[in-house]
Amino acid sequence: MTKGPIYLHVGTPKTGTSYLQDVLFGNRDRLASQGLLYPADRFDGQFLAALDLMRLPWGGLEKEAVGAWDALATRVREWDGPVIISHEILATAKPADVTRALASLGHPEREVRVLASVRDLVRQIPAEWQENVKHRRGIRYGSFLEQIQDPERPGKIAPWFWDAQDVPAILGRWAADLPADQVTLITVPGPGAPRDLLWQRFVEAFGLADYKFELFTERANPSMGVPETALLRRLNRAATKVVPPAHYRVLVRELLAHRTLALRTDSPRLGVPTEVWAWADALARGWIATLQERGYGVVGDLADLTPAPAKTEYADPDRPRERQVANAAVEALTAVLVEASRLREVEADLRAELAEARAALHKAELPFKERSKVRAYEFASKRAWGRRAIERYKRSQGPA
Amino acid sequence: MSAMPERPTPQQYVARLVVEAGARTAGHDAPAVGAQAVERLLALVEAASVPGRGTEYSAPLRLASGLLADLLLQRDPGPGEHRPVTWPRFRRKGVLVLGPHGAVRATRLANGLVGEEPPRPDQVVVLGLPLDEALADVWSGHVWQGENRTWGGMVSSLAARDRIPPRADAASIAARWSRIVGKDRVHLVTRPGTTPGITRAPFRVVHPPVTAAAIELVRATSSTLGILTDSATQTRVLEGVLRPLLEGDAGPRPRVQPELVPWLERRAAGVARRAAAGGYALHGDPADLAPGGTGSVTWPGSADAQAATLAVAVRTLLAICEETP
Repeated sequence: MTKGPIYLHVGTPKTGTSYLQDVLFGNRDRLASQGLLYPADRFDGQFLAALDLMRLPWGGLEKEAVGAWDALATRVREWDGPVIISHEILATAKPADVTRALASLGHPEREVRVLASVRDLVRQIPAEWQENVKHRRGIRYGSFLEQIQDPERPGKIAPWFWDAQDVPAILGRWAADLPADQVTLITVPGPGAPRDLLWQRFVEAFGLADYKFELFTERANPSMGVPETALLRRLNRAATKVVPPAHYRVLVRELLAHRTLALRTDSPRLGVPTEVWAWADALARGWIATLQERGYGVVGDLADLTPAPAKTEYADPDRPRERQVANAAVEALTAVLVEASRLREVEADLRAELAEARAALHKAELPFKERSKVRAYEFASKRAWGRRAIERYKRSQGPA
Repeated sequence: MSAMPERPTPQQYVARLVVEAGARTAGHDAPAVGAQAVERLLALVEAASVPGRGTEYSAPLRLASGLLADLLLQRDPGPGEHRPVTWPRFRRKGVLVLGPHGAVRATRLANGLVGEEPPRPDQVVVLGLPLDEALADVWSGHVWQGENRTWGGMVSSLAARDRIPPRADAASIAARWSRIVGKDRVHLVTRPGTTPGITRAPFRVVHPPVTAAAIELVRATSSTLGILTDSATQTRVLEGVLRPLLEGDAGPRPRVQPELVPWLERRAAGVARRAAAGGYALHGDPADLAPGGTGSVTWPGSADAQAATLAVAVRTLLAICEETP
């Protein structure tokens, strides 16, 4: 019997992947009962597998990823029906990682279809910079733009950016051993398109039309505006050294960025300056020609990769309007104060519980004689004559 | 227009270093490496992938440390059998040595202190090092325990929070133990060498140097090991397999960034002042705790320091390939 195909979704970041993965994870049992496997036991299960495949340290999370790819591949090989594997970080896989991944999934005996969801660079560039800012970096937007346009790809940011965003290169690595008809591009519609159009494209590309599932999501990766991102960048420069990464994740990325600053939707949105727009437009046209030449399948339209003309004036996050930044800062401070108040209440509760537990332990453990000794010691240690007596007693008893 | 020369791949770059190192050791100034070991390593380098993420310049080191992680795991002796309980384990009294990890380890070894630390010590010896050396020792200790912490990052973070690690603060350790066992049983020793008056035989204090390149290699290798295996195996392989290979590897020590030196001196003066006023036995001079300025590598992970780390990596890889049948 021929086994179902493996849909291997390898990126790119910021193309609706979180929503797709959330829906698939939330419906994984229902889909499995209909014959489709989404192999993950936790929402980030496939992310961990990707970290393991690429030996990618991720702030300590990689400790939870030991053996995750092999475990995933085993489940996939044992499943007879179609399978979906999806994580955008797979875009950065190197040729050796790709070879290992495909072999472990049973390729070439088992059919593997590689899919990549893609979006125009003019929306990807600011989104990537914002992700960098949300991961403790303090780089200015201008420097970020310079680095990613530099053909030498200096520093850490540019190599990662292009590993994750250079669509022809990503598919060149992942589809080197696959026929073109087993490779599909899903384009993210341009601004102003119907909200569910991208989802319809995912349904078509992954062959989900015949399956029943519920559309809901619990996780979101919302975007911030210009003053909010500028504020967070300044905060990073001041606080990164004094706030450990584990606390940063909870207090800055989750509390400030996602739950506070991203809710301010009236502020100017991030974009790119005119000259970067022109550069991205030229690059996109080259990519489109390359991708057309390779003959990959397309769900959507390759023209979606060319940037839409800017509708609003460019707002530079390196020179934001200070009043807007100040307003965002007040909201951020308020959120931090609310959280600090909550934590103080938790601390007070815990202290009370600890005192109760100590008292109970004291009462339960010490017999009368010992309790009397403790009381006598406490009484004596508060008086000079008592302390002298304690010293004499200790010396007479020898080593501690 | 002439074509730009192609940048070598990480595999080509490391292979060139392997060939050069193999040729160098054919001389008389280093242990000779067999041609077979060089060939074996070259084959491994050619097939190796570059793990993790980073800059272009860091790719050769990531390749070499990734390869080293693989080879170390192959030599993992396993958890081993449970050792029988030996006499020192039951010993409740004895000498307790405290301070930065490396100095404590070396000092215990030098004085034949094996087994568990005594829960009720007769004597407590606190090792006080010049503060910059103490910080380097603490950094090294964290890295050997599997923590992925850079030297520059650790020092910057400490300075920003105006803290020093508890193990580097000899005066605080001595004060705490004075409260527990009494001042007459606490000795703060500020100099390496033999110190009379602590135990019957002269007590030997050792301050092992911290080599920036070697510890940076441990950090890079440990980072890959962390994703290949569980924490227990990671620590076992680092301690049991990698440490003997790097023991005795000499080289420049880490150095605190110049702009943080005033902070370092202020904190060291605080430690020295408290040590002088502690009331316990002070062997040496509180002034010994001032930064010694013996280091020269400010950022062991930077592009400038990469060559030294790669050299240690290649030497270690060759040593493993030489030993592998």
